[in-house]
Formats: sequence, C-alpha cells, structure tokens
Amino acid sequence: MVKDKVPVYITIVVGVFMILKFFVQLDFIKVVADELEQWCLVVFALAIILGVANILRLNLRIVLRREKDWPYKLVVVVSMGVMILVGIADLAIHGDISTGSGFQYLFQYILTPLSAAMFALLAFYIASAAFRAFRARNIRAILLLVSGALVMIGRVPIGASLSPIFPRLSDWIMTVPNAAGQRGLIIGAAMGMIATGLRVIFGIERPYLRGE
Amino acid sequence: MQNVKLEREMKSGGLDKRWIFLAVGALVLAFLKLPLHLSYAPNQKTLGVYKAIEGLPSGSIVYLSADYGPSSKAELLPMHRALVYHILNRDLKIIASSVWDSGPPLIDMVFKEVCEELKKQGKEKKYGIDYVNLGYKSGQDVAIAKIGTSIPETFPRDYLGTSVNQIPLMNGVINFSQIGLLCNLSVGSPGARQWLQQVQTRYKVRMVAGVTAVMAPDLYSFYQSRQIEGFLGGLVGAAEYEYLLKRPGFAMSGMNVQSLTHFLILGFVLLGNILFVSEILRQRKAKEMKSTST
Amino acid sequence: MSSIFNVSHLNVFLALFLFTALFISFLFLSRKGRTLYLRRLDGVAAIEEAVGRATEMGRPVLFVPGIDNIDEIQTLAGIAVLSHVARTVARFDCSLIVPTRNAIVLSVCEETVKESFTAAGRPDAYKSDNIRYLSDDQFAFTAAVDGIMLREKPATNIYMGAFYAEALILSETGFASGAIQVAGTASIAQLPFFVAACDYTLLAEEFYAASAYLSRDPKVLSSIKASDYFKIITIAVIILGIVLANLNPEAVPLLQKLF
Repeated sequence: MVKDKVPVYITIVVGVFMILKFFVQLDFIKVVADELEQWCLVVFALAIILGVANILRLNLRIVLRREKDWPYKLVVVVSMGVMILVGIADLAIHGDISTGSGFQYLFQYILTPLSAAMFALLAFYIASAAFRAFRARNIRAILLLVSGALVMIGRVPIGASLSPIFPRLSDWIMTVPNAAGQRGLIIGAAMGMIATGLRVIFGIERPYLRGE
Repeated sequence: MQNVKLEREMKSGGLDKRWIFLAVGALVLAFLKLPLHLSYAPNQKTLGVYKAIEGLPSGSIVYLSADYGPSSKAELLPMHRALVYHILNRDLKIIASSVWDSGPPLIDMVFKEVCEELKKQGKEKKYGIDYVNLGYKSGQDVAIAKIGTSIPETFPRDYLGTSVNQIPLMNGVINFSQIGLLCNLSVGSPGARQWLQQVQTRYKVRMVAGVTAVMAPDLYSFYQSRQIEGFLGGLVGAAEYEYLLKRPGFAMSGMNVQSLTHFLILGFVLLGNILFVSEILRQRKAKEMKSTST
Repeated sequence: MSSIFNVSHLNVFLALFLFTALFISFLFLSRKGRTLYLRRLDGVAAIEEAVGRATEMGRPVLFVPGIDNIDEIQTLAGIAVLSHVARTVARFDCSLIVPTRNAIVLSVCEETVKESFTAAGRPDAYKSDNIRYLSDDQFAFTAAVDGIMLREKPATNIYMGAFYAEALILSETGFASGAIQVAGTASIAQLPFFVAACDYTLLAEEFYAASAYLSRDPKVLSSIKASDYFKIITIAVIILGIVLANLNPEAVPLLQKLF
C-alpha cells in the first residue's frame, strides 16, 4: 500500500543522506542534509501545538463533565492557559519575555521552585533505595556494598579529613572498575543502537509506522 | 511471580521509609548553616577543567552551552557561576547558548550576577563584547549538529533579538575553528554526550564539562580517552572549583550537609543489613524449632 | 577521491561497512533456513505474566516509552516493545495507559496502540484517552506520571526507553504503589536505579534486543547476531591493542590515530 511504503522510502532516503553527510564532502550532500536538519527543527518546534491540543481535548472534556479527578485536570488547564496568556501579553506589550516580564516572574517563582522540589525528592528516594538495595546477600552484593560505601565516604571532603586513603580508594574505584564497566556497557549499547538504527533506516523495523 | 513477591517483601522489610525521609529532612535543616571547616583536595578531573581555562591565551573565546533547567539548579548553578567568573576574570570571551528551553534565563541571570561581582572588583564587562547569550535552539541532537556546522546560521539572533551581525563578539565566528574551548553544563539529554558525539568528535574541539553527580560516572571513559580534558561532577565538583578559585560560594557551604547526609545514608545501610541478618537468623531458628518438634 | 571522502572518518566507515556486511550475511543465512539463537530475556518473558496479573486484579498496565524525542533510538526501540505489549493487553482484555513527554511520540504511540489492538481483534477496546501527552518539562511529566500511579494504581509498570534523572522517582513511586515493574533502557546512568527498584531490568543492549526477542523476526534477529559478532571483533581488537601498546609503547600514538 502507498500509505505504508511512502514513509519507509522517506526514512531510507533521509537516513542515507545523514550517513553520507558524515563521510562525503560533496556540497550537494551537505546542502540537502542541512536543509533536512532545518525541516526537522521546524517540525519539532511545531509539535508543541499537537501537545497543547491533546491536553485541551483530554482535560477540558473531563472538567466539563465533572468526571473522576476533574479538579486536577482543571489545575492543568488553568496553569497552561495562564502561562500562554501572560506570555502573549508580554510579547504584545513589551516585545519580549526576558528578565522583568510577567512570564519570567511565573517561570522564576513558580516553575523553578516546583522543578527544584521534584529534583530534590531524589535525595530522599536515594536514601530509601540504598536502604533497600545494599543488602549483603552474597559475595557480589557485599562487593557492591563495600565499594558503594567507600565511594560515598571518599567523594565528600569529610572523607578526606578522616583519612587521605578514602579519596584515593574512591578515585580508583571510579577510574578503574567503574570506567571499565561503563565502557563495556557503552560499547554494548552503541552496538544495539547501530543495529536498531540500521533496522529503522533499511525499513526492516518501522516503529514510527504503527510500531511494526 | 511468586518469587518476585517474596523478594519484594524482603526488600522493603524492616523500616517504614517515612522514617528515612524524616531523618534526611531533619539533618539537612539542622546542618544547613553550620560550618564544618572541611578540607578540600580537588581531584584530577576538576583540576583538568581549571587548567584548561587557565591555559587559554587572553582574548580566546569559550563556547558555553548551559543545557539544564531549574530542577538541577542546585547542582549546576554554583559551577556555572564559578566557571563564568573564572573565564571573564581571565579576560576571555564567552559565547553562551542552550539546547534546553529553560537554559537562556539561567545564562542571563549568571552573567548579570558575575558582571556585578566583577564590577565591584573594578573589572567592567560589556554585553556583546565580552559575552553574549545566543538563547535557545530547539531540536536537541540535530540542533547541536547544526551549531557545529555554523553558529551564526543556527543563531541568526541573540536572546534579546539583536542580529548576530551587529554583535562585535560574533565577528569572524563561524564554527568551532574559532572557539578555544567548549564548555558544557548538562543534566541529561541533550547534554555532554551529545556535544561529544556531534561536535567534539567531528571537529576535535577542546572540551570540558560540568554535570550532575548522577551523570558523572558516564564521563570517566571520555576523560580517560582524553576527549574531555576535565569535568566537574555534582556539588562536590562545584565546591572543589570554588576552592581552586578561592571564592567560597553555595557549593562549599552545601558540602557540610552533603557530607553528613552521606554518613546518614551509610548508617541506614548498616541498619538495613542488621535487620536483614537478624531476619535470616530468626527464620533459621524458627525452621530448626519446627524440624525439632516434628 | 580524498577530497570527496572525509578521510578522518575512514575508521568509522570501515566499522560501519563491516557491521553491515555481518548483518547482510546473517540475513542471508536466516533466509536459507538457519535458526538464529537468542538467549532468554527474563524481563521480556515476564511481561506476559505481568499483564496477566493486571487483568486478574482489574487494574491497568502503565507503559512509559521513555522521555526523549522520536529521533532518539531508544524511543523507537521502546515503541517497538509497546506494539507487542499492546497486543498482549488487547488479548487479555486489560487497559493500557501510555503517558508521553513529547507530542510527536504521542502521535506515534496512538497509532501503534490502535493498530496493535486492531491486529489482536479488539479495535473496540482501544481508548484514545489512555494515550496522554502530559508535559514537555521533565519533572512536570514525572509528577504527572506519579499522579497516575497513585490515583489509577496500575498493577504493572513498564518503562522502556530513554530515562534520565526521573528514573528513580518513577520506579520508587511505582514500587510504593505495589506494582510489578519491568524496565529497559540504554541510559547507563539510570540503570542502577532501575535495578534497585524494579523487578526485572533489561540492560542496554538487552533492551535493544527486546523487540527481536518478542517478534522472532529473522530480519531483526540478524541485526542482533551481527552486533554480537561485531562485539567479538571489537574485543579482539582491544586485546590486540593492549598487547601492541605493551610490546611497543611508541606505537600508541599511531594506534590512537587509527582509532
């Protein structure tokens, strides 16, 4: 079917051009590849409209029908509306949304603390995850426990104050076993990425097309 | 699935995690302002960043990509401030941009703060001559690849809307051949890895990075292969950099709390293991008693 | 010729050529009838049981296809797994919630789930409201997914794709809500968090092999075999490099130039 074949051909052509750009120094290839990158940037930027439409479609209907959890959906719609309207007003009145504008105010005093609070949750979750995960069940778990403890002590200045051996051990663990393991994982992940990339470019796997 | 359930019970057993959250929160609040007078020994990765900037000839341009948002401000803002201070104090130039939409306001804020500080020390820095904020470019990896190809084509205007042709600092700057050092601050993707793939590997530009503590283990391999000359990992890296600059800031004051929190977590790990071992011994005893009685 | 071809990238070209040659060779072998072996992946094998558990409990399955954009290979790999999970969910007559961080990923996931339900003979069971765009902001998305976990209480959480700092927040909240969790990612920094909090974790290349494991398509399996053999060649080259560097340290700069 044409509907199935056209996206696959587009993928193959664009994929091949992007690979060729890396290896071939012809002006024609560079111009086409650069233009495709520009189109990509435009598509990504316009995709936000799709997102806004989806949020409105889903959440407004729940709010209007007072379905389950409708107060939370109301908060989503109102927050989105306020940010958009304030941003548009700033652009219309002041010409930009930089320092001093209402949009910046909302960003700095609402979004920033909320995001920072969510990120800060990691500190608490790491404590509870460490409590659960670092159990000396077997030799490998004991190795994990000991190396984790040494790195935790060695990476903070208080460890260096206790003994200079801690930062040295911590550095050795990070530089030798950790880097070796990381490198192995990175190489393996890169192989998987190449395999998946080639499958997508050659049209063998088409996840962008209904997940086939 | 049966084994999963049993494993899960064993994993979570012993202590309600709300006690852990309470202990961490209480410790942070209690020791936030208490000075501990810690000693610092900056590691080779931090020294690598410091030396990379110290070694640049006066007037060189540093390209700074601040790819993080307000969520990771606590870890990356101190190192961002310290790096910008170091670069401008050495009379180097900065071209800054971001591939995160929340990056440009943070870049703007840091430039303002550092320039105020330098002004008090008698060093006047001018926008457009000593530093410029090119703003945000959407597209993630593709945007980074485009920046590598041509900076003015990717950013025809700066964050304030001025054409780059009218900015003195951008005169003659086409791509990374004119850049002395690439400095990336990042928390995820797009970030250091993407800059390494799309720019450092292709154009062989010198590079240093500042990342959150979680991302730092990722960069050890690239440091060892000399693709990056150094990197700052988390608040500790920022504190070590402030120590090298002899400019104590938020990072050094945060080290008090972080040091003690690490020990608290180790205490919980020890407690967890004590509870785990006592549970195993209890189960063995119960099994023995059962087999004796039968 | 050297002015057309970028000689500094010759090593990458040769590696890519070798990989492609291996891929085509295994493709040829599979077409000739040779069975390509793939070892068991516990995490993937557990998905069907986990979906069955969700059906028994009358609770939905939550599938998070990562938080990155459609141009990220991990997202594409995650969506390939989503297709199979959606078919399983349709067969078991369960419900599937797919929150996305990106609008383009939303469109692709909508089509994927719809087609999977249709392929399983249950087009009526597809609910477009369950495929949701939440937010482009990383932690706003995380907070929203946590809210879904705590309010809608899915019995099974599947995380397949690119994850960053929010990995631990998602998996810990999922653990606290009592869900069975299966994760797969090539975001190496986040693997320890998933291993600590999830019941099954697919590590890096296992995640990329998941769609091959599920489909058993010879064309897809060929690429996995090619990457395995390429890894063997890489290990051999690394060992050779170590031996050469130790026998003749002066050869190290030349070796560095080659690679």
